[in-house]
Amino acid sequence: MIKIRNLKYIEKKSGFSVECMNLNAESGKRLGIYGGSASGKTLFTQILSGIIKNYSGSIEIGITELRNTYRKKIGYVPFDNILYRELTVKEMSLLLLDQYKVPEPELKIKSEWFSNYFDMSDMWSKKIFSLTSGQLQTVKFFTGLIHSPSLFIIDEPFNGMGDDDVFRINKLLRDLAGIDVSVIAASSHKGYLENITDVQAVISKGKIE
Amino acid sequence: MSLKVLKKDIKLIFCSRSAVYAVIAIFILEIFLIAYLGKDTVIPGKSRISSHFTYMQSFMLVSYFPVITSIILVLSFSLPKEKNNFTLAKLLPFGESVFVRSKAYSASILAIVTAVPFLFSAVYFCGLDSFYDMSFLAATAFYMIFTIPALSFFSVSFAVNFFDPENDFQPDVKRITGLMFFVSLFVLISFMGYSRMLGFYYSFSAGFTREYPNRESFVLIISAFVFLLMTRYLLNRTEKRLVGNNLNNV
Repeated sequence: MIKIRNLKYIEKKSGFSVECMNLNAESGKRLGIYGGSASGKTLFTQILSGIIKNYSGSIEIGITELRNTYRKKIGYVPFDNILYRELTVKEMSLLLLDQYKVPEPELKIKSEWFSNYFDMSDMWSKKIFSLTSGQLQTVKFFTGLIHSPSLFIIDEPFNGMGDDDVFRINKLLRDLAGIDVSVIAASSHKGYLENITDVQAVISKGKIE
Repeated sequence: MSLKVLKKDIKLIFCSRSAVYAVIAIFILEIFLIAYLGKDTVIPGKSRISSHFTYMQSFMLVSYFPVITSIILVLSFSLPKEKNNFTLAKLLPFGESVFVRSKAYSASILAIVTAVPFLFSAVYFCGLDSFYDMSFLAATAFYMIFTIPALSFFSVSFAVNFFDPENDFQPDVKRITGLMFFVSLFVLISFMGYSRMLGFYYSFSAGFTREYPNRESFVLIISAFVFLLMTRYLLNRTEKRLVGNNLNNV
């Protein structure tokens, strides 16, 4: 369960602000945030993922305020690539497992589970910079879920994905919701977003309604 | 500190050809330097020991060369690759601390890898028998063990605090000059200070005296250790500044 109350954040450099008076997302539900370009989607997802800290108001994840929430509980797929370009997919995955203190043998279990949705078999030995944009997005999904978070946030889930992938993403997010993972997806593709989420909110000029 | 993280940082440095060339250049330069220093320079009225004395006089300054170059390599080739990955650090448990420490430790490892073989081969090829004296060797070894990480900690703290994180931590001319100023200042002060305070260190290494005084070993080791503690504190402050005050980063 995510409860957002009187959230306000003003970006210092641009003066752009993000505001959300009241928003709830039930546990195991998929919330979609729809907005055009420069509407504040990325900033909003960065706030929810804990990257941006100096906001006012409150964001509760379960019964804990976001500022006090363990980072392990949050999985985030940002729009930009935050993975090390020079590492292979396997090296990157192992590095993340190590940082999240997840035993290394779990990589096999996680990859077998993930192969239900996306095939990564030919990507393991490839360096991140050599992946196509669709493959990179797949890897970003995998690495965002590698530590089994209870809140999964995705900024532009269809980035680099084709029409067929919408079905796979839908299946993945539905299954995640089925195991009580809360999902928040922000996108500028309204039709696709409606396909993969249960409820939708609109963000415009930084204000979420 | 996880080995995987250190491996990643070292790999990030060597992904750049310029960094590989720079390390090869260090080793080549070291070989020439040792070959040059190993020659006997006979000064009228002095003994054959003069070449060793020349080497030992420049020992403090010369040994900083690979150390400082390695630190610059880390700051120039590893840190700038972190722009987007620093977002990753903000998502991982203790991510910011791991980010800062791994840079400092990888700089130390690279510095040790380039500096230590140089020192050992210098000792061997220049026939510096004094190094076989245990107390002298221990004092020098501890000095280097404390000083190399201390310089790495200082440089990484400086870079993270003063280089622009919004611009890939790329150092501009003003900031890299500032860093070089502080590092040069440290090298000069330690050279001048040790030359005055630790005269026996040099006369012993040059073979002018056979009794190496323990008091001076302690001054050498303790001063380097204090410097290490100071820079470690600086690194801790940098970590805390990155983490912020109110977020549980576990």
